[in-house]
Amino acid sequence: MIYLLHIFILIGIYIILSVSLNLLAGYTGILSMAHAAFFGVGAYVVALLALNVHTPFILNIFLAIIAAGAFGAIVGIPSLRIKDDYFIIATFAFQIITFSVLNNLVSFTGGPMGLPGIPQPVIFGLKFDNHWSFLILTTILAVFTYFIANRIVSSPYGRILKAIREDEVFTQSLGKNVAAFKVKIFMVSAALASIAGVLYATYITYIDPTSFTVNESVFIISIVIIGGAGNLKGSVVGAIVLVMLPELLRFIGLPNSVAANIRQMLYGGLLVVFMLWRPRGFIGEYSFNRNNEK
Amino acid sequence: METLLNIQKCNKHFNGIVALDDFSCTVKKQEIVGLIGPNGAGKSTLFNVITGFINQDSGSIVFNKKDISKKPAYKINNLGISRTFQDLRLIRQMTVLENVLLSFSKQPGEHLENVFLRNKKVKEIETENRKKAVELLDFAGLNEKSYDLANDLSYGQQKLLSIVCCLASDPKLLLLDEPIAGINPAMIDEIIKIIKMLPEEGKSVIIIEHNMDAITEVCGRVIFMDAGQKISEGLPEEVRNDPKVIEAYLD
Ligand SMILES: Nc1ncnc2c1ncn2[C@@H]1O[C@H](COP(=O)(O)OP(=O)(O)O)[C@@H](O)[C@H]1O
Ligand SMILES: [Mg+2]
Repeated sequence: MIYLLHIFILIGIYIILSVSLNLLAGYTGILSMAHAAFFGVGAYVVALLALNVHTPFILNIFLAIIAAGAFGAIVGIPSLRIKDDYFIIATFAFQIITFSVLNNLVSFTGGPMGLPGIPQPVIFGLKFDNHWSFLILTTILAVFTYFIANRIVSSPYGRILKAIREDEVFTQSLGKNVAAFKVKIFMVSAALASIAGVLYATYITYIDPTSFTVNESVFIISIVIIGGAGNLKGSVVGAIVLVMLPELLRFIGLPNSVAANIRQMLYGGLLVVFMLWRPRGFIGEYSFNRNNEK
Repeated sequence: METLLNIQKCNKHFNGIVALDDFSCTVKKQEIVGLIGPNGAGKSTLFNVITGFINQDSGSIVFNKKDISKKPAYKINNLGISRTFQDLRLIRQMTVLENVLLSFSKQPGEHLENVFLRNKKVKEIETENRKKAVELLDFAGLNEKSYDLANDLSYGQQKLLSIVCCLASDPKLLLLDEPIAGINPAMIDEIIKIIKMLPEEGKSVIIIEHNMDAITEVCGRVIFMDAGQKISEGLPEEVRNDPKVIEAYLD
């Protein structure tokens, strides 16, 4: 039972990550490799505050969101000047830099040793110290993230994001400040991703930089693409499928060490298969493989 | 009539190619000006410079008493200049209606905070815009296509839709880049009919077109340009019969 609850909590965390990335990649057409960095910013901000400043969880989550939002602006602003593939490389660089900073700023982040003993969340005296209660907290925050994202994409604001994805020049000619829209959605996406980081850090109670590598970014991108870019439900389906898949492998009886390697190959293989034969994912509305559109 | 747009001595070079050469012109309120000239004369470049998509090397552009020479494209649209593109731009993966809804300017729902804080206001304006969009599409005869993807329209209907999108923001000046090139005669008549109505609505138009009959029919004044320069200007018949124009076309 505990094992199942654990899987559900992970699914919740990845739903937050994929839904937030979908806003940026699926709806606005800005593919970012830095999502794990925002995930990490959330985790490290909450961990450092809880460990060193002993501020309450609610305040920490709030500060993590603000920090990640600001970081999102820093990564997003180059998107105004750099186009397409080069921008992906720029976000890749940000991802690598973030990892290096977390890994090398030993006195502050603990470096590769990470930060152990992160306190579990307490909200107004309510302790989230077992799987059930943590699953409830995760569900609430995942639903909150989905609600925010859904509200954005189904508003006139979301219409402009989609228009930017399809034709930036035309959107600009209609009087929309495309640059501002891009930076703002980058900030929202980063801020929402940090919520997943907050959950992860206070759930595992230990973090180190290896949880926030470029592999993690690729995994989140895989969820978005396989689930379906430009469709929020797709990200939910994608998170469920991709988190469960390796667990199913374990059920078949593969030893953990083998399963871990197969996991990476499976994700990579799936991504290639989907890109080639089903670029819109399960239920997506946008494909990064644009040759078949124009 | 009062001057709406005043372009003075605009220059634009693209690595050695002269696209605009000391180009000056004015457009009055409620006037339709035709802009003609051979391919590569710099007509589209002039539109790009006016609308802020390309920065001119020098020269000034004053619109409605405001200097817009250095303003970004989105601000220029918000000041009241709408344009179409020669290579026909629309959001093809959206419906016809959504394209028009997208085109309204100053929507409260375009502000991120309003998506959460003033949802009621956003919905209210959205409903209002929807009504206006339906009226516009009715007016243009595209109402039956409202829920089709823009991509599924015929080329002529797409060109018509791009003009409807321009009109949605209720601009003072429309810049139409070859709005009837490559479409069937029935659709040409439809579009011409709409363009001719614009001055009565208080709007001015600059129209780039190769179809001289259409130009003669809708324009009060025509400017002929070649190699970035204004060669001739006047009534359609005058420009048509100007020896300099005839010479340029014979070259
Ligand atoms: N963005 C650009 N970059 C480089 N050269 C350009 C660009 N836009 C236009 N030109 C050049 O400027 C000249 C004028 O082009 P254009 O304004 O499109 O002419 P027209 O619309 O009158 O046919 C052409 O020689 C064209 O190749
Ligand atoms: Mg042209």
